[in-house]
Amino acid sequence: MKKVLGVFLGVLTAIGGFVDIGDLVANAVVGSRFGLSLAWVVVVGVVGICLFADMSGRVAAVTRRATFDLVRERLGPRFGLLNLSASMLVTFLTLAAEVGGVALALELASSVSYLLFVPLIAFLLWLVIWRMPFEQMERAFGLAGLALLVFAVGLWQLGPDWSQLAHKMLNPTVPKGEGHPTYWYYAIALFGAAMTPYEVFFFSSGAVEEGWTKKDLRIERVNVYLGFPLGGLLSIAIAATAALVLLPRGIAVDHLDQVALPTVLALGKVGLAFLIVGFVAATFGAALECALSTGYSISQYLGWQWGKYTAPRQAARFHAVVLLAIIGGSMLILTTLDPVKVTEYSLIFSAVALPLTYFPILVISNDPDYMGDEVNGRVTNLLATGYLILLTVVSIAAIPLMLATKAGQ
Amino acid sequence: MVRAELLLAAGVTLALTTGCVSPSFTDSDFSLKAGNTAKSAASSLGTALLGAKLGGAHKATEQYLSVLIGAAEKDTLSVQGTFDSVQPPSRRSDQVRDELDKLLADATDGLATLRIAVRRGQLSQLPALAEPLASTLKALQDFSDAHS
Repeated sequence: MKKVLGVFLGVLTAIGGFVDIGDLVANAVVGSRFGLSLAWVVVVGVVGICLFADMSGRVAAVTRRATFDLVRERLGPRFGLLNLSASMLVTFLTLAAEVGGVALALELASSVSYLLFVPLIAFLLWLVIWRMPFEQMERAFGLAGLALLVFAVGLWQLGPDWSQLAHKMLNPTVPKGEGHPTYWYYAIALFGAAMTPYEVFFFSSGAVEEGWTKKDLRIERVNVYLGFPLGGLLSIAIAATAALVLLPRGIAVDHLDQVALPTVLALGKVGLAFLIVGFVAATFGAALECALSTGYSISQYLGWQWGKYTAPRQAARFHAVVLLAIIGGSMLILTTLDPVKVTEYSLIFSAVALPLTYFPILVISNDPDYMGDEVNGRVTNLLATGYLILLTVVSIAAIPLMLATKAGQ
Repeated sequence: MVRAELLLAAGVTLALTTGCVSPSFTDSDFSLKAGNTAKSAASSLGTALLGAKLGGAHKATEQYLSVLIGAAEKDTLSVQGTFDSVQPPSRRSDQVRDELDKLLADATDGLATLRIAVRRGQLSQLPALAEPLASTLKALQDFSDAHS
């Protein structure tokens, strides 16, 4: 019974933890401009993140070591440094965007300028990382993030024509008034949102923190292959609410308040309350994951002591990196850069860095010296190779499309 | 290493300049810019009108509506300022500019009225205050269609 409850909680945490500021913004923007014609990208992204998260979890469970710990050893310090630099730039931008997301959510509840919340959020992030045990932290914010299921309730309450929604998802077309380059630009942003690099770093390092072994692989797979797809469905629900309410009115999403608008229309103040709780939990949880990922990756590359299970005094450099990342990310938002714009750019740069993040995982998970008899099977390798080709194409196309479309304008 | 730094600097510069407004050298380009400005303003105005409807029905809090309508007003003022900074290339474009400026002025005035009412807690008055803005929204949408 305890095991079943553990699996159940794990799946719920994976659903609640799947959506972050990138998913919220990208899905709402896409829904308001392209309807459900880009929902297929979420499906492709979810399959990809399941594939590579499972691989990185397996690597961690078998080797008891996390990604960057192995990347430098297996692929050399130069490639490791390139990988680390690209991933850290993206993770840092994502951290700033998440901090901005929490602040914007608190602004919706109070109408006090979001900038005033940023220092408080930075302090709370540091406090939670310093004091809260890993599992409690992961569960608390993942479960509170389930409040975002209110998007699905709102969608149901809006009473859409389900067959028409399904038809639009299965027969994607570029809507009138939108160009093909813009369509593909947002496809890349949505793909970047589903496959954000920090998710894999956190997943892999978290597995080491929690002391996973081969015995835990079955539970890990249930979490990944059930939790993430359900999180993906939640992403599609966000896009669907925007497609139903905002698209017909010609409203393009530029702010977090507009993301909430369809659900508030459907469910009123109760819906708004759930949304704000969900926004805060999802973005705060993701900010914790980004900050920790920064510390994990740099410490693992440089061979420092790392982890929340290690006493802070023994992992001082790890905690210093985490603290500096939080301060840096918060200062970026305090420059008054629009957090939603920071999010959009972080998604595109994330797409650029995708091959660098996922290629090493594929290499290590195929190395029998590390993995023994747990190396990838043929089907996994075939799928993963296909994804790597796709990731490379996405990576090459991202910046030219950003320039050609003036960042999706 | 130097090459990597140069590439990074170039990337950041390109990213930061993607949102900048380029000058208009032809009437058709100016017309397109006007159409995009109208589309943006219509989006903000549509947001505020939906917010006003929610406020009238007591379906949203004062704090949320204050942020929603405040942001819509700010965005409209921003696109108006950006559009006004573009030099019209001919007298024909002057007419386009004047026509759109009038609509933008109506939109920003109406949005300011809504924002003031929300921040005074007069949520039930919002639908009545928003009513005249429906025609401005329609005019902005028509303008956008005609110039896209």
